[in-house]
Amino acid sequence: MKAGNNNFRLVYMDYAATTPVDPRVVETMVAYLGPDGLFANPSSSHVQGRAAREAVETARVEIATVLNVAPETIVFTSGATEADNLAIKGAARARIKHGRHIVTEKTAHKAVLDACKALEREGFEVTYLVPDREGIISPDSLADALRDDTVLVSLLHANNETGVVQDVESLAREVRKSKALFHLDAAQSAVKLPLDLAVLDVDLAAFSAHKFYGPKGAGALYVRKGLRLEPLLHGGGHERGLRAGTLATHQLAGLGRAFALAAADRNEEMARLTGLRERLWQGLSAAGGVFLNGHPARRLANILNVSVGGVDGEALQLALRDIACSAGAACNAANREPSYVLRALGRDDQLAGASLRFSLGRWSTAEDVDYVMQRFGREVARLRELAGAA
Amino acid sequence: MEYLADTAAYGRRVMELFDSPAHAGPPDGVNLVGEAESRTRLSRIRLHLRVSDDVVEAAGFEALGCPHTIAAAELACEDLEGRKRDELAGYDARFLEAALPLPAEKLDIRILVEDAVRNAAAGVA
Amino acid sequence: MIYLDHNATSPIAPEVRAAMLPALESLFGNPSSIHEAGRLAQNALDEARRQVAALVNVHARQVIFTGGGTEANNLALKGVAQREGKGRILVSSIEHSSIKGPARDLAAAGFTVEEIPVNPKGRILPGAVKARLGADVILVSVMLANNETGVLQDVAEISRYVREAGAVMHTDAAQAAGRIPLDFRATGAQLMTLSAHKMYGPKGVGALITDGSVDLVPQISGGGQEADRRAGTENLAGILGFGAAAALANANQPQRAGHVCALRDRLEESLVIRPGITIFGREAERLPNTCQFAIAGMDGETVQMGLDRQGIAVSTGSACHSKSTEPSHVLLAMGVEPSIAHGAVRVSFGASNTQADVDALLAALDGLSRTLPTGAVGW
Repeated sequence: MKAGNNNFRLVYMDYAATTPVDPRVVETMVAYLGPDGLFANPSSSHVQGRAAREAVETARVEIATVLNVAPETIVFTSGATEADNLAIKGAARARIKHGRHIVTEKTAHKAVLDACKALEREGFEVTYLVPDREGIISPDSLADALRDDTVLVSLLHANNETGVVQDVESLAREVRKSKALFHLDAAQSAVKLPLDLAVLDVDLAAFSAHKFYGPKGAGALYVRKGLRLEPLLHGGGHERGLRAGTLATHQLAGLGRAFALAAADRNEEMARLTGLRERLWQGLSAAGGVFLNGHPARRLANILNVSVGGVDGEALQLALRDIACSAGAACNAANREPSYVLRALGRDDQLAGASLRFSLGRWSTAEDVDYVMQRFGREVARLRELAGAA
Repeated sequence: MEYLADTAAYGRRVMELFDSPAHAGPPDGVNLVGEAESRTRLSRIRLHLRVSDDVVEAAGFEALGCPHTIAAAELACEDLEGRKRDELAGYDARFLEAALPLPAEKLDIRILVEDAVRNAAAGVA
Repeated sequence: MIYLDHNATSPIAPEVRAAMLPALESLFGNPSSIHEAGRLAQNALDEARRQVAALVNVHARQVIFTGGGTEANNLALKGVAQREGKGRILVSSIEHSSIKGPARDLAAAGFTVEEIPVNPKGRILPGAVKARLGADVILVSVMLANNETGVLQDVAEISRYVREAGAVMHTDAAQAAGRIPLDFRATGAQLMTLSAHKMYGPKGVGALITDGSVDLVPQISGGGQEADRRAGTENLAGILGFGAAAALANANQPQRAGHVCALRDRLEESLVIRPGITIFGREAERLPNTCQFAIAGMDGETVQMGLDRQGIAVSTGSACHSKSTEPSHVLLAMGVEPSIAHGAVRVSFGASNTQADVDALLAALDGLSRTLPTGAVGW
């Protein structure tokens, strides 16, 4: 048993699942959790309510500034899952007169896939684009899938499992040749990649605070000006009628601050994380029989997804339990099916099952990386030896 | 916080057996070998037994599989040592269900172990 | 500052804040991740679920966490209706906008939505529900306590009729939870909405309580959280805060009720001796903390703004309608004359209010009645 062995430490490498909250963000949030005035309902018309409303609107401006759009295009939600649902169901249902065809990708996030599935039950037809073996969706395959009755295209900016980044500019150009709306799930890429929505031609984009040091349960949907959506949550007329419910001041203030802070040091931070990720890849691949999942260059700075030959995925995870990382997507923890994303990339069941996603972040260090590669090397060797000729 | 792993899903016994199996690898003088494979689990067990005077003197295993599979193989080796050879053909590994314990969705691992033992019994010259 | 608008939202209790901070400062695992950080987060989540369950005397598995009361109400109405596909839906005429909104949406989608009237006391007569029930009724939603008047409904008796008719009963208990004793089973409902921020918990988190008999179509899909009924990474800090708020409410409900009821009674005893005062729903059983009244000849919004300038926060009705100049639909449904309904002011007390707050409010109202020119009679 490893307990009590001082050679073991704890390493968090699961920043793509969720991040700790930036202490500065906590500070911002706590100001709205006190008994003194800022707790009021942002919809109330008294002075306390107006102060809360001001905090919410400040957050909206902070996000809009980073994305280079008008503040009124930002709709607050309880997270990216709700934002994806609002974008996909809301746009499809609002445009039902124009058609009932949707295009997404096999490797989309569960929130997108499940929203599409819900629409299939309502009579929509969904085309699932298949990426190439490196996870890239080709603009040609998108062009082939688009039809006269396509009302919506929903793609990931960066894949949550592999970190593969799509060529969204080219994809957006293809969408524009059709009458379809373009929804981008930017939950994983947000603030890590520059995203100028005044330039990039998308209609909808979903964000989640807890992927960039903000709180869980807060997100936003960018909705292009003038675009009509069928709301998911009705009542009260909040958020221009697009999303009813009392605005959670502390959550949204945290979201806004997190956006601004993460954008401020993006360049240096991404350069640092790229260095760590490369160091990690060098170390892991030294074990032999280790395969990088996804395009070698076109990916997020902080995600490294590898498949390991000759070992069982679950055994590898337990062996490396001092390292917090993910096998498949974290949102699927209850389900031990091999990752559908890696299956779509053509990995066989063994390699798709024995995959680990290491994701780095603000508190990751070179020492963490060295520790992980050393532990990985030792455990992979041990498990392969246990397997022997079996 | 102790360790960043889902240790609660396995339990102490499985963890100990998985971390430090005493019967990993074939013992010296093996004269019985049996294999079994689970296609759904993508897992395999190979059992190595040294039988002398119709008694299993030593057992060892090689296993590719989940932590429960490895723990089950280890526990079976421990259990097999000292058993009569004629017990092998009808070997009942049901004790593993409670001893590890095996979760409901992994009860089939017992069959994998039994198959490996029976194949070992059948494979003797 | 004197805050008398607890039905819009309440301040966060220090214990709630203390329960939330660990989730923001250290307990950061995604509860769906299987490693230990996630496991710790999951344990905390489970404990909060038990706390919320205990408040309404149900099992933890009966709690579906949502992004708030509005979402829970949407999930209840649309989740049931979309499963059924067609049929008649009955909602009371005094529901919150988070019921009226989805009801309108369902009407547009082809369901027949009918309103159940209330009597002048603000009460829904169970017989009025019974009379409208039929084999085609799939769902009935009647709030437990009204957010404006505080009037309580006889949900238990209504539920009996609804169940006999084979329909699903939902009650919005967002205003009632923590303020009056609340036992889910005693309400007879199959679905019940709770909201944390009305009981000293955080905004952005609520719950739908279910008896397990109702198959809901999720409104937010993807990821399988909340037993596939509400997807999305859990709002960990919010849920932990909700749990702590529920535990506090469970422990302190009688004392809290006694405290705010004494303040409310003190206010109303002073109000009624003044001329031109109407207190809405006073003849009915009400929440202990709520008093909605009108002063003849004085516009409610003017009173609200006048009090606001003196540092006293009240509301004219629902916070969700604070920009609306329409008179309250609740009061109109009770048969209140629009001219009187326009004067509505809602005072809702909370734990930190004092007798001095009541006296300050009364003094401020007296002052306003002297300074406001618009035909204020008798003040």
